[in-house]
Amino acid sequence: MKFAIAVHGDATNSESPHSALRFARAAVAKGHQIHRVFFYHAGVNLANSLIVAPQGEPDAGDDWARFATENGIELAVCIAAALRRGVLSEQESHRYDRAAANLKAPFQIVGLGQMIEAAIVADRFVTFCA
Amino acid sequence: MNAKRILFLVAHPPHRGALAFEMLDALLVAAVFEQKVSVLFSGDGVYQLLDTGQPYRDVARSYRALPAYDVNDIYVDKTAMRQRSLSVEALVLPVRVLTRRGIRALIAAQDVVVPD
Repeated sequence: MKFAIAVHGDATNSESPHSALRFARAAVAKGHQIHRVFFYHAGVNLANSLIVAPQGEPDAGDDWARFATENGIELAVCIAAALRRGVLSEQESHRYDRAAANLKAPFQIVGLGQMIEAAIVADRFVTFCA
Repeated sequence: MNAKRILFLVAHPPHRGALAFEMLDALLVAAVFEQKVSVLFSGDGVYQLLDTGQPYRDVARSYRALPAYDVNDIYVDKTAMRQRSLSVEALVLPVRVLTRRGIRALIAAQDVVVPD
């Protein structure tokens, strides 16, 4: 089955990214395909490479990045949600004349249309709310 | 590509950060993609349809534009309305009121449900 996953919460304020990652791992382990993981609302904070997780706590952003790299899964970050929360790619940092870029690899900045496209093409669209 | 039936499930109150506006944005993009979009307001989500009279950051005023995007399947949870002593006349656009049974049927008829 082809899944698409939406993550709406960040690691500081919700279980959303952790629960979603466990779900994604289980899906891949069962041989399912993950079309895209879409980070929206506070979920875009997972792509902020400047966040430092407290010692002894898992770094949800790093865990997602590793999982995606190992399994060839697209991590998509909504551009509007990312800009208002200060998550910037090199390109956006340059465009808005900001001091730095902080988008963690392999997260990619995309438009909201990619969320709806994922909902359309996937067999199941699973949202992990904040 | 066949259009999918996508239900947006709004259950959070307005003024909870950017959440309300970001859900509306997602809904409008789905409408622009010519999907069969509907929206259900339940729990504190029903407050999102109350006009607060504030000129800025009032999501109710933005929701008023739904018919312009051909989104006319707008539902509210009857129980949520009654618990908050709200009547449909207080809301910014015409809605259909659903009982719990109606909500179950609505959700069962969808291809995709997107909660906030």
